[in-house]
Amino acid sequence: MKETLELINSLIDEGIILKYAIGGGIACLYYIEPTSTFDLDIFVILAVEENILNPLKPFYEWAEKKRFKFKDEHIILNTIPVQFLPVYNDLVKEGVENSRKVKIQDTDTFILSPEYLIAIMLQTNRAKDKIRSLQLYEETPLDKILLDNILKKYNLTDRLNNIINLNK
Amino acid sequence: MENKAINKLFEQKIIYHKNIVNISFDEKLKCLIELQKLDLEMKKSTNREIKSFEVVWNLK
Repeated sequence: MKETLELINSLIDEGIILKYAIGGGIACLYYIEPTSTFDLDIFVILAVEENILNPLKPFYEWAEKKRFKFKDEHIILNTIPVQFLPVYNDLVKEGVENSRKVKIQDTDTFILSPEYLIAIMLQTNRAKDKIRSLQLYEETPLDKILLDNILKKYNLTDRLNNIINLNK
Repeated sequence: MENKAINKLFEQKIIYHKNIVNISFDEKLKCLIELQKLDLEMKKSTNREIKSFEVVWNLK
């Protein structure tokens, strides 16, 4: 993991991305109990102007230059399949901009805060996202005011309430 | 089941959750690798599709 994070950090030094944040299953793993996940999702704000038809071009060029392997939509960085996801809407962009700086295995990195992670999963709304968002809501210390504000801003309050009520 | 027994079970569940949530991230990564192995075994045994990126991490 350490080497993988160092490689991701190098993308900032190389001027490919401005900012990034770990999301998805690994971000959940950071806050709640372990559940199986196979890839490392990295939400990124690109430093270069986004190519609408091929937003991942800078990553593939970088990976090819470094001779990293690809598997489907993943780039294998030190055995870990990494999926780079350019921020695709205002909520995800705001989440990356407000991500937390943390240390994992002595390496500085950025991770979505649990409040934004919940909101993004409520927006994605797949079955596993519903379960994980409820786990995060119940098991993680949250800034409830911040969470309320985010959910109101992106019309997600009802989704969270529905999941909480289903679990009662 | 008696109320006492239910309460005891509930207590144990809370302790389990507190312990598992509060372990270090490195310990969680070790759990993740075991979960990945189990997940793959389960998929193999039930002939479920294994996606090509589903490799077990070789973390040092």
